[in-house]
Amino acid sequence: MNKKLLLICLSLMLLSGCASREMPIRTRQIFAMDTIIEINAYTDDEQIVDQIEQRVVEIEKLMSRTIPNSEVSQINDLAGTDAVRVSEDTYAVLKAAEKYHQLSNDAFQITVLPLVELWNIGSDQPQVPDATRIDEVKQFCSSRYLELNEVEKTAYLTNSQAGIELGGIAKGYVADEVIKLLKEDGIEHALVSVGGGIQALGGKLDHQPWVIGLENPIDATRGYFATCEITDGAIVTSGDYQRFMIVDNERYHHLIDCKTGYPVDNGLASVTIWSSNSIDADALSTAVYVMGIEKGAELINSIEDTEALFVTHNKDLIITQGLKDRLNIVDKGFSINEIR
Amino acid sequence: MRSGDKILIVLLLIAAVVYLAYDYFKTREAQLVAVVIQNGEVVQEIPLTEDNAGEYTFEWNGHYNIVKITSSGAEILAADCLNQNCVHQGEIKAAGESIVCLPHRFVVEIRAAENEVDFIVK
Repeated sequence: MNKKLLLICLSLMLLSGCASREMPIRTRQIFAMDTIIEINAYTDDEQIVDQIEQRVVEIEKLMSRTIPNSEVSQINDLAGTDAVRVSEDTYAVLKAAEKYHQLSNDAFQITVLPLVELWNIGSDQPQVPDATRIDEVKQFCSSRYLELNEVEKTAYLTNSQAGIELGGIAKGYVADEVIKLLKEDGIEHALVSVGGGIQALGGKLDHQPWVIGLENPIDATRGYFATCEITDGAIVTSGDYQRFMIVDNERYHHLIDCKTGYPVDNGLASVTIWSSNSIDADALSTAVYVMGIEKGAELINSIEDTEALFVTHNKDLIITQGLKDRLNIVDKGFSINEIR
Repeated sequence: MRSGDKILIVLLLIAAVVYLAYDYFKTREAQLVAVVIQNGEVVQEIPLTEDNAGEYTFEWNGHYNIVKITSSGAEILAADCLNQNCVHQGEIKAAGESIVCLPHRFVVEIRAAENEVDFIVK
């Protein structure tokens, strides 16, 4: 009998010990790429977050347009003069940008820089540019001025007034590179956030999916309006509520349409993209936001394993087929209006 | 099996159930905490209670952010950053929400013992 008793006691001890045998979660906030990057990874390796931080800083030094002498700054400085030989990292991002520029039928353009600088949204002295100046500048915001040479790995802006900025795609590249480093280190469970978008790796330690909230794009003080679960893959949102300025009671946001020269105005508050990797989700969220519901949904439905959620200013939700059973709407002010 | 053994087993089982129930409800307690992080380091954790309501000033590299804490939420009241994005964001209330002041590497996050969401996509 005493053996039985001992067994019961041992089982109870084991049971109460279950909760404390978890692998530590390493977290790190990195300020780079003009945003915040958060790493949450289950691992015993104390060094990995340092390695990741170094890699992020390395990419920032190549791709930031505000760091003098970065490869992007060199391309801009030598616009109309000379081609610039770039690293594999930068070339990979430029090629991906070219792909999404073509897929989106000009909606996604890294050559938007002259307009971004003209509007300068987020600066300390907001003002709306003069309409004639917008017209003058927007003609230089065209990807036809950007030439990439596959053999030489060079980039050349053929017009001295043209310029590039990788704000709509480089963050996605960073997230993918972080996930790559985590995987190489043998890490199986992590959640990485770059600039508000996320990429999940392998769910949580107990194999449960990560639970992600989607911020209310109409009123951010109301928290999240929907949740969804994700084990692997990326979720990225682009919207008019992220960066904006208010001039004479009018709100101007940071997503500028190269065709009009003005912030996109198509009734959309935000577009969220689900994809297997972050660079695609990042570029597509901007592209599809600019394209609008009709053409945007068409594009998303032509790409495998990619889904989109459109949120209009009227709180209508338009989703693609794959999201039908994945979204949990928690704010009853929002409702799914259409499935495309 | 002697009756003493039986009583002991039942007592042990009851103790285990009580412990597990206590543990479950303890972690489910709705107490929200505002976690203030500057340059990647947690500088203060402020439970959202009546007692802690007030204004807190955080200084870093010659700059400041003033955080207002109430029993229901947190907001950045004032800051000397150029873009004022953090001030414009308003109040956050739910676990998982955060306010980021990029120029000052300053973050206020609301956390609960058990967050309903792991991250909020913005």
